[in-house]
Order: sequence, then structure tokens, then C-alpha cells
Amino acid sequence: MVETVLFFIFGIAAIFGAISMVWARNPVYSALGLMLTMFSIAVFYVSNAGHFVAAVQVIVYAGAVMTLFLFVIMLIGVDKSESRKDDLRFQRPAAVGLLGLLIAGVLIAGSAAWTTGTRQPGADVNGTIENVGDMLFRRWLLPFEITALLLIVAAAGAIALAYFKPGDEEGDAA
Amino acid sequence: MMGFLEDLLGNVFWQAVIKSVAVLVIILVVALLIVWVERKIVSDMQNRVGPMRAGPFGVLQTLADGLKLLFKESVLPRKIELGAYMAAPIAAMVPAFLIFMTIPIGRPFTVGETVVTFQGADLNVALLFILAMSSMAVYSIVLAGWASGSKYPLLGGVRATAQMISYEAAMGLSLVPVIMFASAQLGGASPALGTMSMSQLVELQQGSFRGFIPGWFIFWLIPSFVIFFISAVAETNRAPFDLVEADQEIVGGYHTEYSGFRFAMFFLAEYINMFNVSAIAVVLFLGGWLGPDFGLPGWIAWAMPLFWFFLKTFILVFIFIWIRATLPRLRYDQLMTLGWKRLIPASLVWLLLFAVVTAWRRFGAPWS
Amino acid sequence: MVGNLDILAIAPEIALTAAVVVLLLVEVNFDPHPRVWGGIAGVGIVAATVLSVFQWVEWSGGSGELAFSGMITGDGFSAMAGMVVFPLAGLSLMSGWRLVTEMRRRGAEMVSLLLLAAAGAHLMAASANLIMLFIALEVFSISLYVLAGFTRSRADADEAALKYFLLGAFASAVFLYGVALLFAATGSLSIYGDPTIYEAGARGIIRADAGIAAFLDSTIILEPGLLLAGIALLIVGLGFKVTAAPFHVWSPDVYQGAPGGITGFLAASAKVAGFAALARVLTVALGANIADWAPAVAVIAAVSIVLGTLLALAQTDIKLMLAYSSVAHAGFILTSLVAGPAGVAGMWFYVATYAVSVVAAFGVAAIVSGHTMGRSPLSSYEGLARRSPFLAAVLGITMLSMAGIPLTTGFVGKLAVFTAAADAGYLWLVILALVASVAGLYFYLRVIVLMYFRPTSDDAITPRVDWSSGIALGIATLATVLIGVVPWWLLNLLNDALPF
Repeated sequence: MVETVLFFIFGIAAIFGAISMVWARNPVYSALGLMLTMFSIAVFYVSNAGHFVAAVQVIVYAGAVMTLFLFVIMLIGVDKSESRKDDLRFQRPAAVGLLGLLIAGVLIAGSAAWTTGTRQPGADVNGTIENVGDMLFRRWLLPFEITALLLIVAAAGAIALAYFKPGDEEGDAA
Repeated sequence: MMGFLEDLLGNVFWQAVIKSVAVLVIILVVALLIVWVERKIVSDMQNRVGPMRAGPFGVLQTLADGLKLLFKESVLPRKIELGAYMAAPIAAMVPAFLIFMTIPIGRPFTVGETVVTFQGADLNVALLFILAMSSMAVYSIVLAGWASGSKYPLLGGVRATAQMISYEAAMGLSLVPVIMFASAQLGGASPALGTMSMSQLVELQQGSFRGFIPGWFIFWLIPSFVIFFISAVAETNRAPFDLVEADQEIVGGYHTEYSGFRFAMFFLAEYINMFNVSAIAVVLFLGGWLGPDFGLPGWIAWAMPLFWFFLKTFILVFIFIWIRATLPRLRYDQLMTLGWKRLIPASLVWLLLFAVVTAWRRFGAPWS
Repeated sequence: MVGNLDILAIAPEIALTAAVVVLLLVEVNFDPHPRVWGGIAGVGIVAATVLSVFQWVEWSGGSGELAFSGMITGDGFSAMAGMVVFPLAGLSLMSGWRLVTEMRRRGAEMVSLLLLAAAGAHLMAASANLIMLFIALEVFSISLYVLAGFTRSRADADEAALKYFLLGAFASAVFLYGVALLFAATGSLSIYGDPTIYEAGARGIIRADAGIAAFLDSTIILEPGLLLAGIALLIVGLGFKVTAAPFHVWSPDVYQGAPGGITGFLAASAKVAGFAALARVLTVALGANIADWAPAVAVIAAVSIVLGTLLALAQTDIKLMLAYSSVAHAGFILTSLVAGPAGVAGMWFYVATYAVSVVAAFGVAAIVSGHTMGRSPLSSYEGLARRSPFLAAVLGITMLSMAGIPLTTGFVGKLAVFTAAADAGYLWLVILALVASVAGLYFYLRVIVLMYFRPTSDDAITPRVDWSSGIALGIATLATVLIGVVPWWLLNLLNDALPF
């Protein structure tokens, strides 16, 4: 019962957040809507016993949305809102058409029968912190470490792109 | 009487309601007390007398101030963003309240069959939950700063974001050794590999070594404690890290445009947060509610854990206030240097060192 | 838990990562002469190559190992990928060295990203788990996105990098969706399975993971919709990386916009890594379903060959021409994969030799039109043989090889992949490819005609060849000719480079 009530409250909140993220004229409210959606999804994780994922969802996405806030405030300015002029006139009808296609796809895919595979080992346990840690540092150790390599790539790449000063490239670049 | 209490606490729903109300009452009382304590201590350190009139030693002064703020006119500046402006004070109180919900303040007791914990909720991801909630706390400040439609609050809000994001990293890193140490203390005897539950972390600190030193984590994890405490001061925007509301530079910072009870909510949230981080430090490093009961009779020994918990927490709160009365405010670049170039590398080095030593002790030397 | 073989399986990555970390730390702390970066990177690349040779000695010829609980393989296939990709990175670094020095201090990041991309490429070839493959793909791709946009002073480089990034991120998402669907259809992410039994505290004993291949071998799937959709999305995602049509639209812009000194590496490493990953996923994980995917691969190959050749005919910029020809070559290489495991050796030969040629071709283009520059119109090659006989010879031989003239590697490669496809019964594809090869002669030979039989214009500058790119181009050309003349030993060697 509690789960159903939670699902409806936060399901509506998630959809409301998603719509207001796209709809809001002010980008700060867009960011807030995004945060609401992320937070509601975290609540779903909790009600499915995925406590760790829920906590990480809030930490990571709250942090990410925070950065969005800063971008909005620093790049766009405090009291500017987004312009609603469409450069491509067929954009909105096309979006409606694509939505129709998506719904049709979901209906067709949902009504057909598909063969699915066997259950993954360990799929029947809760996503508690102990289990996540155990899987992450035993079976998935190497991907986890390679993700660190990915972060080095990202950091080195960001520095390389951001550290450019005009006139830095000699020779034939002019 | 006992039967009714047992029925009441045996029902999950009513137990949650009672605990929530109790937590709300406790944090409000604690916040009022801390405000008074701070004013008294700071005035002592500055050779003044501080509040004297309301109640004995002015202890009711904060209550009087609160009532005054409650009855004040609610001033709404013209250039605000109404929704966000109204939501910000609530967004400040909610995380503070939720964090306090996870802190065990006393030994669990039994009423009939039911075990009742002195804790709002015993989460198995409590530490991560606390970090998550403290990252949610930034929203109130940024929203307040942005929604006020005025430049000083905005500056305060932007400063707050940078500061809290920077110090959250050091704070999180300083907590990792605690979890590792807890896992080592569990040592395979328990089926769990480790724990993040606050109540289990307290229980792991029971006992003593060398006869008299209590088994608190701080004796193994002093660097973690120091880093945690410094970042906690920064996270709560207290002096010397109070650039967010630096009155000489940006008036009141994010709450410049707030008045009446909305201002009071920001004010209370700040003090509750101060109490929260002190309580977290007590639970993680100083043994939580553990302490001797000196063989006292049952009716008073029952209250001893509460006494120890609040004593330890108020000692840390005193240190907060002491720091505030002593140290000058940091410059912005010094703040960032301390966060990124001192605390984060220090906590990384300490984490690495601790991990190597722990693994060595547990699994033997790498070449064996 | 971690054995010696486990460490050997990722030893080249460890060597490269160590080199990168040392390089970045040295650069930050001592700000040394670029020569020092080159030294560190060289040591890293040589070490990685040597370690790949060790892997080859240990595992070649079908005896492979799974390491890190089924995440990565050590077999002849992954060792061969290392032995191709690391020397390739070295050659690219040497031929692009002037670009590195012209980037001043940012050059250190450029070298680091190149090394990390090489590590990612080898990991892609060695991955035995689709999640592992995805992360390796990201390490590789993100390095390339940054490298493509390294010269910030030119708007077209920014544009190229942005296009590459956005389309690449989209392709990664498609790939990941394919992985998810494959997981739903088979219940596993592991290609070979994970034999490890985990006895974990509270959860009791967890059984081993059988893997995708074992599941598909032992199960008859009556409603294979999920499986087919997953396979399709995987092919699309990896097809993007190898510039197979119709997923090639990014490549002309990127090859033309990226700084000249690095384009060769962008083109060559993406082919090697992408085809290695594609070959392992298709022939091992989905080997039992070859009847499902081989027709799709054949169609993609045909479209790539036709489209690439036709569009290359119309280009007036040598980099655009090379870009479209690389689409056609992707098609040629794909023809070998329709044969399943039998075509892997041919694929290796074609990919490796094509990669060497393309590094040489873009190396010459970089010298002729500038290391940081993008555009390289064909007119600036008129009479190149007068001005710089060395460059003209290198580019000429490379063009002959790409066209598939006998006595070059291109001819042997085409022979190998066409034989494999013909044996598998795809005769129509082979005939189509042969016709396209003949049409391709036109644009390859046009470059040679321009260089040798046209007068040089008066204001044309004489390109200066620095010694490091000279050596790199020389090695690449020599390899193209020598292996083209006596290819048998390499073909025999590659028969041991199959996934186990």
C-alpha cells in the first residue's frame, strides 16, 4: 500500500518535473524541474530496495544540477529567460509526429512476445551497499579501474581544450 | 499505561509519527539553546555580558527573539522570484531535519516486545544519505540568493555553491577511512562486509583497549576527524568560512532580502546544521552515546547515554563557537586553496595510507 | 585472486598509463623541453609493444586466457591488436611531432591523449565483456574527440570536434542500448562467460555466468526480436567507429577539420580498434547466429563500398578523398567478416596494412599543407615530385597500395578478404567490390598523375620534411612495399591471431 501511494505521488512529481524542465521559460526553473525528477526517481529506487543507487543518484545528480545552476546564473544572467523563437518551423509538428511513432513503437513492442535470457547471477539480492561494493570490487574490478582511466582522459582533455590562449599555436596556424 | 505505550510503539506508523515529532521538538530546543550558548560564550570571550534579561542568564532570549520574528510583517521585495523565494527557507530546514533523523542519540530500549531506537530511522546507507542531504542543502542558499533579485544575495549564493561543492569532496573523502575501519572491525566475524549504518557504527566503538582508552574511532582516525571537522565548519558556512554571509562585504549574503519568520528559518537551519555535523562527528569518531554509567540505578542509568551524547556534541559545538570567536575570516582565494590544495590532497594521502595499512593488517604483506 | 596472467593481460595498458602519469607530472613540475615528453612517450610505447609481443608468445594460436573474472581476454587476437596499434601510435606520434611542439605546453596533453587512445584501442580488442568494451570504447573515443579539436584557433577544427563528439556520443548511446537489449535477450554481458564462483558473505554461493556465446549455443530462441534488435544496434554503434556507410557522415568533416598531424592516427586507430571489437563480438559472442547478422554486414559492406567510391571520385581535397576512400575500405574490410571466423585473419591483414598506409598518406598531407591545418586541396600536390621527391614517392606508393596494385600490401589484403567472402558464398559482394576497386583506381592514380606529370606552379612552397616524420614515413612505406612483396609470413602469422 505504502509503495503504491509513494509511486503515485512521486510518479506525478517526476512527470511534472520533466514537463516543467522542458516547458519553463526561466532556465533556473528548468534546472529545478530536472532536480525534482531526479529526486523522485531516487525515491523509486528506495521503494525497490536500491538504497545505494538512490543515495548516489541524489549526490551525483544534485551536484550536476547545481553545476547547471551556476552555468545559468553565470552564462545567461540572472533575469534573462530563454527566447521561444523557432528557427525550424517544422520542428513542433515533427516532434508530435515522433511522439506518435514512439507511442506506436512502445505499444507494438509491448504487445509482442520476446524471449529473454536467464537471470544474471546475483540478480535476486537487494541493491544494498554491501552487495554493490562486493560486486564492484570483485567481479567488476577491471571496468571500475578503467573508469579511472576514463577520468584521466576527461581531465587531460578538458585541460588541453580549455587552456588554449589565442596566439598559442605557432607556425602555419596563423 | 505500559500496555498503551507498548501498543503505540508497536505500531510502525505511530512510532514513526512519534519519532518525527520528537525529532522536531528536540532540534528546535537544541537550536534555541545553541543560539543562546553562542551569544553567551562569544560575549564572554569579548569581555561583554551578553543577554541577561529574559529568564535566568538570558536563556529565554532566543525564544523571545523567535516570537518577535514570528509576529513581524512579512516583507516581500519587489524584484523577487516568488516561488523560489518562498521555497528557499523550507529547503533550508528540510535537509537539516532529515539529517538529524538518522542520528542515534541514545541506547535502544525495549517496551514489552518492541525495541525502540533513539533514532528517527536506521538507514543502511546513512552516511551516503547524510552526504546527499548536505548536497541538497546548497539549493536553499542558491535559490535564496538567486530568487532575491538583488546583487548581494546573488554573490552570497554563488560563493556558497563553490564553497560547498569544494568542501563536500574533502568531507566525503575523509569519511571513507571510517567505513574502511568499520569493515576491518567487523573483520569477517559478521556476515556483512561492512556497514554504513549509524547505529552499527556506534556499537562498533564499544569496549576499550589498553585497559582505559575507549574504543572510539578517533584514536585510529585522527586525520580523518580533523579533515572532517574543518570541512564541516566550511559546509555549515560558519566563521572563519562564512564568506557566504560576510556582513562586511555582502551585507547578509543570501538572506539579505529575507525578514520575519523566513529569516528565522534560515537562522535556525544554520544552527541545526552546526549541531548536526557535531553529532555526526560524535557518532563517527567519539563513540556516539557510549559512555560509563558508573553503576547508577536503573532509572537514571537509562538516561546516561543521552547525557553522554549531548555532552560530547555540545563540546564540539563549543569548539565551533570558540573558532568563530577566535579566527578571522578567510579570503576567497585562501578558502579555495585550503579546500582544493590542502584538504583534498591531505585526505587522499591519508586514505591511501590507511587503505594500505588496513589491507596489510588484514590480508598480510603483498609478497606473502 | 589476481594472477600473473591477469596482470600480463593488461600490462600494455599499465605501461602506457604509467607513461602518461609520469609525463603529466613531469610536465607540470619541471616544464621540460618537448624532447623529454617524446622520450617518456617513446619508452611507454616501446614497453607496451614489447609486452604485446610477450602476450603473443604466451597466447598465440588459440590458447587464450580469461583474466579479471572474465572481463578481458589474453589471446592471440588481443596480442595482435597491441602489436598493430602501439607501433601505429608510435608512427603517428613521430609523423605528427611538429604539431606537438607547435602546441607548446598543451603538447604534453596531446601526447598523453594519444597514448591513452592507444590503450583504449587495445582494451577494445581485448574486452571479453560488453560493459568492459563500452568503457574501453569511451576511453578511446573521448581521447579522439579532444585530439580532433586540438587546434582551437581554427573554427573548422572546433566544428569537426563538436560534430565528432555529438555524433560519437549518439553512436555510443546506440551501442549501449544494443548492449542492454542483448543483456535482456541472453541474460549475460559476458562474451565468454565468467567461470569464477563468488562465495560472498551474506548471499551464499553465487553461480558462475555462462556467457552470451554459451547461451546462444545451447538455446533455441523462438521469438528473437530482442536479440536481433540488440545485434543491429551493436553493429550500428561499432559501424560508426569504423566509418561504415551509412554511419560515415562525420568522417569527411573530421578528417578535414582535425589538425593534419593527428588525422592519420584518428583514421587508423579507429579502424583497428573498431574492427577488432566488431570481429570479436560478431564471431565469438554471436557466432552461433551468423545467419542473422552476416546478411546485414554484407549489405553495410556493399553500401560502404559503393558510396565511398562514388563520393571519393568527386573530391578535390585530398583529405576528403581519403575520408571517402576510408569509407570504401571499411566496406572492403567488412566483406571479410561475412565469412565469420574464417575471415578474421584476412581482416587483420587488411586492417593492419591499411592503417599503416593511411598514417603515411595523412602524414604527407600534413607536411604539404601544414600540421595544424585542415584543408589540403589537390592542386597543392601538382608537381610535388619536382619539389619533394621523397614525399611524392611515399604518397605515390601509398596510393598504389590503397588502390590494390600488385606488389603492395593493398593487393594482398584485397585478395585475402575477397577470398574469404567468396568462400562464404557472397559472390555478388565480391564482384561488386571488384568493380568498385577498378573505379577507385581513378582517384588514386589521379593523385599520382598530379604529382609526377603536372608542372609545379611558381608560388608553390617546397615542403620541409623534419627528420622524425621522415623516418616514420620511410618505415611506413618500406613496410607497405616489403610486406606487399613477401606477404606469406605475415598471413601465416595472422592465422594464429584468432579470438580463442
